[in-house]
Amino acid sequence: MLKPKLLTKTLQQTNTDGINGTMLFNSDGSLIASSGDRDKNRTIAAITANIWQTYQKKSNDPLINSDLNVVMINCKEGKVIIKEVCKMFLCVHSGNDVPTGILKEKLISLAKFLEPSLSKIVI
Amino acid sequence: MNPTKRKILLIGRSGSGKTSMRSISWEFNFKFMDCGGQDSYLENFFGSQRDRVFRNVEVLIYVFDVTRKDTEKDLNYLESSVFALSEFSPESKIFCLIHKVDLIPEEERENVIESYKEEIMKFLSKFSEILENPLKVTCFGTSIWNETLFLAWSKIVYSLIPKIQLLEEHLHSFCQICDAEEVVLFERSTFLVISASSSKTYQDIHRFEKISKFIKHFKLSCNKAHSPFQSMEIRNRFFTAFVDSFTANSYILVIISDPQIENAAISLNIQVARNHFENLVQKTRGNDDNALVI
Ligand SMILES: Nc1nc2c(ncn2[C@@H]2O[C@H](COP(=O)(O)OP(=O)(O)O)[C@@H](O)[C@H]2O)c(=O)[nH]1
Repeated sequence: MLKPKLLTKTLQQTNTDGINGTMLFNSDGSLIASSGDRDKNRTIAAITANIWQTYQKKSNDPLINSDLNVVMINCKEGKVIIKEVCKMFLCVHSGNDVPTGILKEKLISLAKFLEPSLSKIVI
Repeated sequence: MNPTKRKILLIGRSGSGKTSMRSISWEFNFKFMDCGGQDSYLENFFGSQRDRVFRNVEVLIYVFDVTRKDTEKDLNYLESSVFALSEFSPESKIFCLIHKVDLIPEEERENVIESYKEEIMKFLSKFSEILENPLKVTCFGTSIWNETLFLAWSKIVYSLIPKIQLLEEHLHSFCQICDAEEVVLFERSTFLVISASSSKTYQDIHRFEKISKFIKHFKLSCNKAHSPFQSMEIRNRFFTAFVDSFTANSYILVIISDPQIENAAISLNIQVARNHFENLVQKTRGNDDNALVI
């Protein structure tokens, strides 16, 4: 089971060195927990969940034929990166000043950290 | 598993209020054996049909009408019932409803109920020497015009659920894990409260009954529209409330007052808990085919 407050605290710890928001959401784009500007997080979650689904659908295409691992989006105002963890989605976003490699490393280490707990939530 | 196997006997004299009482519990999973209550009819039940009526009884509810002065007659019926039960269903529980308490002036109510209780208990105490099994008797003052009947019936349902303490412990942990303010389990068809866990004390002790009524009405309207009720979420300035179908025979209510907690997290937890409780219920039921499954 999820401990909402504890989960939020854990996500908050990632929000350093220029990272503006960290969140966990489900496949329909609803936030499960987040830290940072909540309204912004909500919007990013909704949009990126949609983007993920769209690409995931294409993953069966013989030309691609591979599951999505991460999605990185570079925007004018910042960067967003998403990864699937136990049928949920973990996402961090930052300004443009944060190197993409660092953003990705942070996301992956957070995903590794959360995975053992999240995998116990069988739905 | 066939819940209708469980028998609840609702006994009382004619006019004591049995029929009007059933509005709160008519959807009940169990079969009611309403012994009519007309005196001659009632006598029949203690005569030729005695064994058919009193076999496999889980609960006997005897309804006393507080406005009637001839309590001896009721006590005699109760005595016959207790004897019959001790023979055919020795494990059954007995509840006495001291009914229509609204007709007693409020300031006297407590005393009248107490003296009824005393009289009933004193009367039944003589059985303790004769019977093998100790009698399990509980009395409630009730009225259809206030929450007392709802509370009494909730306690009756509660007493019927096997390993209820275990269930309550798990509900309590669920409440804590979710950072919920309150979690309540309702029996599915009657919407009587089975169990509740709260992390704070509330002013309104009648809230369960109000909520129960409210959801029951809503559920009925849904049925009329041919789209059966499944779940709902209500959010206001102070809290978010989730009502969701839970185990095979229950609904769950979760109240969250921390605005930082996302709805999806709670929905997810309810889903996970559903499987957990379903397993728990299966386990506690064991071989008891007759047990009330929530
Ligand atoms: N004041 C009061 N009247 C009640 C209450 N419960 C039932 N009655 C009334 O008592 C009468 C007999 O009730 P009924 O349910 O028909 O009794 P039954 O013969 O035992 O089924 C009806 O007029 C009811 O409205 C109660 O709690 N308070």
